Amino acid sequence: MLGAVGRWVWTWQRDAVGIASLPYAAAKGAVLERGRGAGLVARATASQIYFTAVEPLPILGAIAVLCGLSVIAISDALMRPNGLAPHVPVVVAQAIVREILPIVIALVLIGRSGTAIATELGYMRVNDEIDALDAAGVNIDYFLVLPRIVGVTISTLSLTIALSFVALFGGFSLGEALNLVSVGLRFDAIIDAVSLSTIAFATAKGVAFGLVISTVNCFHGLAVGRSFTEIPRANVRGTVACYLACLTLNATLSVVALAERAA
Amino acid sequence: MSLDVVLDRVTVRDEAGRAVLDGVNLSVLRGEAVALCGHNGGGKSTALRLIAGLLRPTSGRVKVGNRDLSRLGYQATREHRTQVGFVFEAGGLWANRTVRENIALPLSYHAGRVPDLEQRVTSLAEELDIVDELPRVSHRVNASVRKRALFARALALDPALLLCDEPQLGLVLGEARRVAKAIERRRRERGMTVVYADHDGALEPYTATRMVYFENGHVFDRPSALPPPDRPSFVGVLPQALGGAHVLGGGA
Repeated sequence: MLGAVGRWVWTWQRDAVGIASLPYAAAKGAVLERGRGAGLVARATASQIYFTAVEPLPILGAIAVLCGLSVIAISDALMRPNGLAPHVPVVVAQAIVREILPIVIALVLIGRSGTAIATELGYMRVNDEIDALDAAGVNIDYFLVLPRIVGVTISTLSLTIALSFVALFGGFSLGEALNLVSVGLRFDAIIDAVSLSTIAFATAKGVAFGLVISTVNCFHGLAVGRSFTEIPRANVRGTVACYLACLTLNATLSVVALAERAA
Repeated sequence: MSLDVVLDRVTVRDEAGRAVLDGVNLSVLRGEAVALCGHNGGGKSTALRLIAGLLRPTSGRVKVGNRDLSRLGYQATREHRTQVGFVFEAGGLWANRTVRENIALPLSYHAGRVPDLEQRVTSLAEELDIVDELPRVSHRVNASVRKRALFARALALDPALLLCDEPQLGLVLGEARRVAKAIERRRRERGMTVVYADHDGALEPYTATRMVYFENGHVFDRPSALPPPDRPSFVGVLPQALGGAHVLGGGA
């Protein structure tokens, strides 16, 4: 029993160190390679942004509108009868932009781009593609990891900001169309309630989640050995670790922000 | 340009602690074409990976040219790898890229904007008879084209040392002859050193100046160490014309 716990702790801390050092290794690789293969890396980054941010835009847009609708309709319905109508725009703006949208986008991207990254890198490992690149003198951290980290982080950040406004506008419009929003609630009041600090907070979450999703899945994909059966295991490990990390990070950042506000 | 290779008392252990290579000594002279023969699991592919610098020995020393691979810094490691072409047994091609992009990869990565990149890729593809396959995505082409694309990519940077794992795998005799001719031409004209790993030693149509036998992680210079049923045929072995190359003893 003690041995099992010890092994788990050892594996966990080894993985944590490996994951934490990956962005550094990728940045170091970029410095050491001095622009070698820059065109190929830029192209891979653009592909990653396309697959992470552009391709799933319709489904993410729909999710954002539904999230917006739920928050606006529920806030309005619960707060207005209790004399809290003036606070509805602030609650809606804070809840959607700061709290709900960033984590919802992160959870969708974990299941979509995160698993894709772990699977692709795992397959490349088993198929000797990574060894072949390595043998050809290609820096793996720079060539394979950096585009994924940069691409996913830019995508998560852009999606968080852009879809926040889609959620506010789409949720409000749909609520109005379905008669779920009272006449007193105006869209410009909600937009006015989106402060600079709220956007900064959502930006920080977007960047943090993007880094977590890309780095954790790159690590688990590259950790695959020589067997195809290791790929689904890497996938599961990456997904579970991302869920845990993103939810913990989300809660921590929110609590820290609230504590600062209270102080 | 050419490189010689020395494995000096090299031991490699796997995760379970089993010796994949056990105190192996091996030297390959510049311009030689040496075939590493033996059963699967004998240590041939491990030796190739050691020479390519993809694997570090548990103990012992691997020297290629004037470089001790265990003591290389970042830049020296990259230089070493650009001088070594590695043809993997079957995998190794970038699956979601075209054959052209795969062959061009080492050139476009290391040489940046190569003015005659297209021409060089096409010329290599013509030499190995895969020109028509250049625009196709590599996971959609057959094993023979993939293997020849691996050879083309390995030869793209004009390596001083070529390492080939199971060079006949996936190729019919005519295709293998074409590849063998391309390798032999570079060996004769530029003195490229070649190390093949071949499980049964029937290397035809590739030519080896010398054969070395791997068995249970040890190296032998005679086939007698191998059990009779797997004793290789020696078609394609040239006389030891270059002379001087020898196995330093092995761990047997």
